[in-house]
Amino acid sequence: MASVTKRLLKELHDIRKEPSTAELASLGPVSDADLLRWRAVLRGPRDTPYAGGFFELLIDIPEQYPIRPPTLTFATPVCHPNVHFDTGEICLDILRTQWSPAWTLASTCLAIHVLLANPEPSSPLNCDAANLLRCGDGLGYQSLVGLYTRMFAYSAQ
Amino acid sequence: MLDGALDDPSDWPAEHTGLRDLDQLLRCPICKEYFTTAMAAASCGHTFCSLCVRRCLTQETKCPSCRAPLTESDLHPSRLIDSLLRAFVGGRQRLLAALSAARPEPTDADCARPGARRNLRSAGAAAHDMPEQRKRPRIRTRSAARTDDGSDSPGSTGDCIDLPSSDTGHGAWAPSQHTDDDSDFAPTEAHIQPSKGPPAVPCPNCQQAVAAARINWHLDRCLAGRPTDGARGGPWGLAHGAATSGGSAPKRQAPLRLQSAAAGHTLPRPTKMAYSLLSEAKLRRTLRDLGIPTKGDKQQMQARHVEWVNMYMANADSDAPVSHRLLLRRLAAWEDALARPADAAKHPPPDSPADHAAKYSDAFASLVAQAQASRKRPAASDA
Repeated sequence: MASVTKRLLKELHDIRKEPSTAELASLGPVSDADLLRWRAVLRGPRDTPYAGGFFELLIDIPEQYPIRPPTLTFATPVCHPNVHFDTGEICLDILRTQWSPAWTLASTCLAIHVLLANPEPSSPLNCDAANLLRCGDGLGYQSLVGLYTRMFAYSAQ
Repeated sequence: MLDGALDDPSDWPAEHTGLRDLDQLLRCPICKEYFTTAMAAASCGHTFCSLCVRRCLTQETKCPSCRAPLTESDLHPSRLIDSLLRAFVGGRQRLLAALSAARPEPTDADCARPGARRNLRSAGAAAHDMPEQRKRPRIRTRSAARTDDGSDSPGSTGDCIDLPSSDTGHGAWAPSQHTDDDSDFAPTEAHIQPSKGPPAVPCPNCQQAVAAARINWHLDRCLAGRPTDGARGGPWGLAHGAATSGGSAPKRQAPLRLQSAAAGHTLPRPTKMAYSLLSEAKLRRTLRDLGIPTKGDKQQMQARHVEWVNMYMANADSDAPVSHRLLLRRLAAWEDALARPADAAKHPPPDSPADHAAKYSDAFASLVAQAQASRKRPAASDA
């Protein structure tokens, strides 16, 4: 058994014990045929304009995992300064330079959950959302995010 | 190379948090398996499997746990963890079995009278708490008994860790293991008894119980189809080599032994290289000199060389290194696994709407028919 398979089975075994948490509605392989492609559904963090939404993430796992980081993209359109609105690409250091093999897929999803609640407008992938934050228009940002959450994320589960 | 079982800290019953923590602490943060040749970082003290951390440091010279700067020269073997682990893993299965069997079961005294036990069980008495209180004292008595009879493993002091290697009847502490269980364990017991000291682990290949310290050596021979018994004299790691050089190999300090036994099938020690400065031909020559496959383009050879250096060094760290022949086989297996994603990419995304529609077209059709039928009915009744 390749080491990646073994490690992923272990993570899956771990997740199966608590399949749904306050942050993660679900996490697991897309199909039984391919263990290197996972799907996660995040719950929108409470007290943010994302609350109530379900956000689907697609996870591509390289054969060198956990030495190399997995690739996560949002399948649900998300309005967030660090998420590309069209491609779902996520700008987060732990997915690139700051990755550590000690992370798991569950903890990585948790990090993205935290990113939703804590946008970082200084390195944006979505300039419009970032500009609203940078010029201090919190209300505008919140209502824009709330609109997109209602449009796309209420039915994603 | 493990037996494929997905063991996990959560295998331990929830009430034994100490055992869960212990199990968790004996695992590498990178592969989540028990440490294989534990290496501790000198600066931050974090511990990993030798091969895991070397693979990580090839990518980035930082501690995978705390991201403090770390290089391979800052790694030190922690033999204590290896020994602890051998003791713990050797007893894990049986300790687990004993714990899970002890839970719904009553105490020893009741065991002696089967009738009484049946009554107790059928009455659904509070058997859950009782074993909890009784287990530890019982186990402690056992380890005390062991030290009394002069058993020879000074490193093992934990009260439950080396259960399997002790040799007094285990009926006393595992009341629920009836005759059938005992027969399962009998070969293990029989095999260990002569050496008495180190705990045994089953060989993943032939299932024979082997002293943990010798498992790599055993596996090596076992996979090569060579006899695995009685070859006491052969140096552990280099059993396949010149048999004449056998006899009195030192039992400690793996790297030293590797060098001293140089001749035969030992492959030269590889070193890291600045690949960008090497031409493809030169790299190929280097690989050939090292005795590893030279196929593929420069990138493939470079990846192979990096992995080989890591494997070789991790093997040299180990206190029971395997033969280089087996190491080469592992290198090949590693490369095979890397070649797989190309096949995986051929699968279409399983959730595409077209696939979904095609797959469930029958179901959709019948639903549509049902809906049409139910629409017609009210219309008919109106008319």
